[in-house]
Amino acid sequence: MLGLLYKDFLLLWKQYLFFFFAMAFAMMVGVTATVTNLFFVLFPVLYTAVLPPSLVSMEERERWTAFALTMPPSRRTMVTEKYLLGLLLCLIMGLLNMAFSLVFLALGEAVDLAARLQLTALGMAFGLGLMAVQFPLVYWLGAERAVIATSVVAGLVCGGSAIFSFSGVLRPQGLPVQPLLGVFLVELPLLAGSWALSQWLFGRRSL
Amino acid sequence: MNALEVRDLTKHYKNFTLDRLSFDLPMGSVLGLIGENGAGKSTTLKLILEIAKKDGGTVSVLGSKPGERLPKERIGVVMDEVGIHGCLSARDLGRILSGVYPNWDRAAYDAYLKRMDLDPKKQFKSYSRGMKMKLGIAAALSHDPQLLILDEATSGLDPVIRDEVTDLFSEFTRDENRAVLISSHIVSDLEKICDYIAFLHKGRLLLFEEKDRLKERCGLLQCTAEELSTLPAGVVLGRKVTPYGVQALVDRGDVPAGLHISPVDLEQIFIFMVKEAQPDAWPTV
Repeated sequence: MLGLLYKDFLLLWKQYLFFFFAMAFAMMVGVTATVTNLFFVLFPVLYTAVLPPSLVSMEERERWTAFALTMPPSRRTMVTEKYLLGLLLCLIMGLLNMAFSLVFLALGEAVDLAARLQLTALGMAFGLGLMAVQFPLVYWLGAERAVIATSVVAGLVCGGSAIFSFSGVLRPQGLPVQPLLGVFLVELPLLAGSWALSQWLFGRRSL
Repeated sequence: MNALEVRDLTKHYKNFTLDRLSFDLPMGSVLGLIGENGAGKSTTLKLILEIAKKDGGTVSVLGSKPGERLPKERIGVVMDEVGIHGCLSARDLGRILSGVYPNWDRAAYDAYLKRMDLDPKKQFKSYSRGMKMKLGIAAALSHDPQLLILDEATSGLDPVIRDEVTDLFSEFTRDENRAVLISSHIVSDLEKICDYIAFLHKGRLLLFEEKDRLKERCGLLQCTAEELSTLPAGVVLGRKVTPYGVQALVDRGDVPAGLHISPVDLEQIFIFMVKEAQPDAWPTV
């Protein structure tokens, strides 16, 4: 498991370094008081959640999946590792989002920390939800057809978060804590169900 | 003890069926799986390794019972295309695999890289086909496997690298507690290193025999069509009409004295089996 996790982080570092810089830049823009819409806060966290399922597709295209199946980790472990990677990435992006907020607050900017925290949590919650939908799709459809599915989901993420943010539906002050907790509570069984479904789907696949 | 026991292995695809394959690979030996493209060699190996799901049959690897988890930490595998991400280097791969194989030997891996003249810092995508294959072999050998499974590992390599690689496999099997299953359509490579030969044709195992016994048993007869017609039934395993008469692959033991039979190599047997085989001359194993 550790070797596979190390491989994925190494791959993200080598292949997606530009993406992380772009997301960090978006977070910085989002945290400044001069920008009132929330797109730049929500989008990086949401979009990061799309990365692990994309990685599964890439592995299959580059035949890593078949190579990995010759190694000791079971199919179950391989699927679990990807979910763990997704959780870690969501957590890292969430923490980074908050870290930027704190830095800007320390620099004297007018940052509503509670609102940012809520929004970050919302981004993470929806990000995990996206992952829960995307992983079984990728394990079911395989690399080729999943490219279309992941592109559609990525498009919906970009478009959806932009529409919600720019239209003013989401406002920093308008997010009560209790519904957010509810979102997380709904998401835990969703994620667990998705994990079990992915294991079943990948367990049946022939490569 | 057998390193591998395959019984009635079956897989159905839309246009292809791997039909109840059964064979054993004794410890300390090399088994060559020969067959034309599309004969089912890669499918067989994928089913053994559980990369593809079988529709029937059982596989036992290194003493594992059917249905049990395969002891993959004791198996080294090189597929026809080494599935390493292009942006990773040999050094990266070593670090990854050290976290995957509990018995990973870093010193052995570094020694293989040096021996094979592979730059550890170079990205995989900039390697030639031969270098990629050599890296795959180095990775497969560096966790001290007992069973090595190689799928077309020598295809597309130049003769010098092929020679190096086959030397490595021969070295590997000097230890009696190891075995190799290698598939290839380059029969000359298999002839050099194999103890047993399994011929696959259109998803069926036509023959499974010790290589030396097979070469002793078979011979090439150059004669006329009339001479050939006088031979007892079952002697002729395959025939080819040439401008100079008939060339026939025969079972030496049953050929009447007086006819000159020349030795035959595996490649000739393979071609006769695939192209010129007599119906029912090679009953399915």
